[in-house]
Amino acid sequence: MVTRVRQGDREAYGALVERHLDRALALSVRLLHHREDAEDLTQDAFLAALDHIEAFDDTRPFWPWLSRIIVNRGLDLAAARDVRVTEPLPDDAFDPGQSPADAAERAEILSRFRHELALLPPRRKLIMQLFELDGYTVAEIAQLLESSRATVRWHLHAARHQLRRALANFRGDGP
Amino acid sequence: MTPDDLTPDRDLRDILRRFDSPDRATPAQRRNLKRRIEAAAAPHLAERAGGAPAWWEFAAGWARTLIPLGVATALAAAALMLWAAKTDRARTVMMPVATQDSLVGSVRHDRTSQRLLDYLVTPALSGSATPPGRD
Repeated sequence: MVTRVRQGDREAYGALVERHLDRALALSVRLLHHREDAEDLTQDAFLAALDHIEAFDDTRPFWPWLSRIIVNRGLDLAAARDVRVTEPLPDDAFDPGQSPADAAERAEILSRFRHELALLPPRRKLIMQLFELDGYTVAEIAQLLESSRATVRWHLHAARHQLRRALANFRGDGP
Repeated sequence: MTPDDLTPDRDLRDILRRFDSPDRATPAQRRNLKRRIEAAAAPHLAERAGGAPAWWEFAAGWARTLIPLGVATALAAAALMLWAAKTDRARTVMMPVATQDSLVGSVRHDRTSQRLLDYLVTPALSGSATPPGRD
């Protein structure tokens, strides 16, 4: 298919986009936390892939190559925006079945967790979300970020440590 | 806990998931995005496909200019012809041309073959007898 794309085959390019669009968009949203920006990033990445398709080794799968383009550009964009993303509190932060004291404590813990999450450096946060939420393996993340497995493991360890501290009271194993 | 310890932490994963609200695209948004990507890639693909674009791509590119220009020219020409046909002066200027100088005009005026030949040859002979610029 990539060979046909190199020859300018529109159908082949359309099929390539169709095959990878969902994952590309999900990864872009993960990086930028904003759907419209993520759409722009996805489009930009697909066009960059077309422009540099000669550099692609077609004995290898296409997705890791495309995802590296997305991640490199996405991290640059996120850094340029320099906005710390703060996720809203989840809908179930306030459980009507709880006592007011428990609910207040729970809300405070979630708020602290959110604060810690926002403080994570973007790359570390991305590594953790890819691993914990999107099911990427350490090897896949290392390939995606052009980093070593040991570095990815270290980032994961540091992110988990930071977030577990925020959850300590919630889990009952705090001080 | 060491960096090598990557055993799943269910609590952490659950709470992360609750904070994770991916802004998913609807099918229509997805379709639009795909169309956008393909449209943006089209010139790059055309360039790869064969260098020079096909003639219809040029025509398509110029259509917005040439079609109105062509229509305007045709309308102006039609108006001019109508005006000329209704004007006496124009008709007197046009008639000799139609009747004398055209073969069709001669035939329509029912000339015999000899007269037609004379008619056609005479202006040429009279013209050669007195070439312009000699006298």
